[in-house]
Amino acid sequence: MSSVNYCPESHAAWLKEPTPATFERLVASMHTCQTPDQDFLVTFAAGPEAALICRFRGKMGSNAALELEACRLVEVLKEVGASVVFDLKEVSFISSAFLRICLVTAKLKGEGKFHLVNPSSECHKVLNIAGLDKWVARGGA
Amino acid sequence: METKETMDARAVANELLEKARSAAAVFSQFDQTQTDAVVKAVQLAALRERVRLAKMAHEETGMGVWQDKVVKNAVAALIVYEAIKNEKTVGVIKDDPVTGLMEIAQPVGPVLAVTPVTNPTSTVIFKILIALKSRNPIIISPHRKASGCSVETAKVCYAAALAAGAPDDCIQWSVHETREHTQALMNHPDLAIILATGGGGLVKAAYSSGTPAIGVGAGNVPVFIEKSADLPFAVAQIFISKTFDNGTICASEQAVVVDASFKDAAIAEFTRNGGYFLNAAEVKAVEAVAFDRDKGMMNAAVVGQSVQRIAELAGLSIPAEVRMLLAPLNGVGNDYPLSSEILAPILAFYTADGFDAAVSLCLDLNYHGGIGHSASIFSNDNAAIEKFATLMNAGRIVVNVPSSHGAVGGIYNMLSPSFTLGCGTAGKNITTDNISAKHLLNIQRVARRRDNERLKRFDQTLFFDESLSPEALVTRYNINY
Repeated sequence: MSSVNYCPESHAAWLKEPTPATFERLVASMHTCQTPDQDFLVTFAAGPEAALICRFRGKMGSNAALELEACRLVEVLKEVGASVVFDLKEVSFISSAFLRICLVTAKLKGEGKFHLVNPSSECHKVLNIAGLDKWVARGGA
Repeated sequence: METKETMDARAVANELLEKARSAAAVFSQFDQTQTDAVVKAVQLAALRERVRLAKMAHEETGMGVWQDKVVKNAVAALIVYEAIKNEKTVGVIKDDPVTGLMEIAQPVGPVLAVTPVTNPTSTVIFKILIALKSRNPIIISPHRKASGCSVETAKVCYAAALAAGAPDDCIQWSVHETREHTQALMNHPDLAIILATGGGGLVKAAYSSGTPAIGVGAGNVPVFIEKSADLPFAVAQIFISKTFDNGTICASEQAVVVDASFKDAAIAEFTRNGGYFLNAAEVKAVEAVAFDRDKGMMNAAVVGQSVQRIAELAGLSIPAEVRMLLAPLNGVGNDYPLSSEILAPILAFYTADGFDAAVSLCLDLNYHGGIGHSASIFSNDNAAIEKFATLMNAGRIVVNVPSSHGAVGGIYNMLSPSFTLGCGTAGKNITTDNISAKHLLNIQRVARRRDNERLKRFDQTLFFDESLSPEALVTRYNINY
């Protein structure tokens, strides 16, 4: 099983000196998270102004959500990044568990610090029905 | 200013609806096969538990007959399921190349199901099945006197639905029984529709909430035994209906009207089947226990009780074999409490001189608290049936059947099987249909171009010709058509 855990030293360095360089090093220390059958994958990238970009790929079904929970993704998101962006460009299905992760992350980061970007039109509709439309960035990112 | 109770209730409603919206979102991605698999799993689970849930309902509410509640559960799980299992409820459900119209089914969104004490498990099974078939999450708000069995039924269905791949929280239940909690749920902006079955106050609250609602309140079903009817058959059918689950079904007969020409024969037939005709003093005694004059409605103490129990409450001594109490009455209205809806094996008995007088009496009964609901007739005269049906203000007029079972549908006729009977505008409903999965769908219509040929050929400059008469305009529009 993979883990999202980041390097504590990199984290401490970013907290001490929050620059783009320290943030990039911190994000680079994070591991990808994926299901054993690689049906699902999340990778991380540093965005502007310490935005943590989580790029999801595949079916965000129950297995994927379980994997994310096991990876302690939400706990990590709490610590890393001034804001969080979920890039859903390559997501084909959204489960209840993944919606919960979105909701929890949205509440955790607060207004203006969580964004859902690039959903397919099908996923966009799902997010709207779930009441997550206000977190969906207009026109992608 | 908001009270603490109101704020607590709103917090609970917010949590339930947030989960319901997520469930709705995930459900929206299901195809027909996935949806049907969930519905099938719930059906089987409900059937498997039908006896346990029925006994639980009987023990908790103290109403009805557990064996009849088993039948109700089976009808909800088996007959309703069979009626909806092949319905297309996902995506494109109709595409007509001639008209150019395509229909796409979309779920309405989170459903609040307010369920009654009289049918606390079967109604839950029914509402869950139609909600899931239409890919809608459902929140059960049970009657406080039946919350144990209603919630247990919801849990059984939910476990089966989850095992079949349904979204988390597709079935939820509210264990909070205060008016504030129900109100907070009903008023919630994220709620799509309320399916309210219960007392008048509750149904009115549903309509007043601002959320679309389908509510079934009181009925007051008249049954007319018309002169062409097969009297022994009619009486036997009424017994089947009115004694079923001790009369708890809102579509059960509340008053029988017979032609005066066979009054004696009718009395003899009812008596032979186990009917007991109350004398004037006994009518008063039963009125006192069956009707709450302060509330202007039936007394909950007699709802779903056996004849023997009602007699005991009224201080009457009746033979052990009696199955129904019949109250001969001379009028309809508040001065005649037993002319109102009483969900118990008590039947008002009237005679009328001729067809018109009988139908007028049935109309009075129909309008005494039961408009929009159901009416019943036993007749072998099609003209009489048609006239009776035309005059009644009822969503369903059942013919030659026990009205409880007949109105529910799928047993004695081809009405859509349902435990929620639309009562039309008279009952503040948008429909008189027996409610089913199709009522929980938003149907989108894709309209491809198909020119109106008459309009195409019509010289539209004539619209501006004020010298042309309206009749001439109509003629020109329809010419050669």
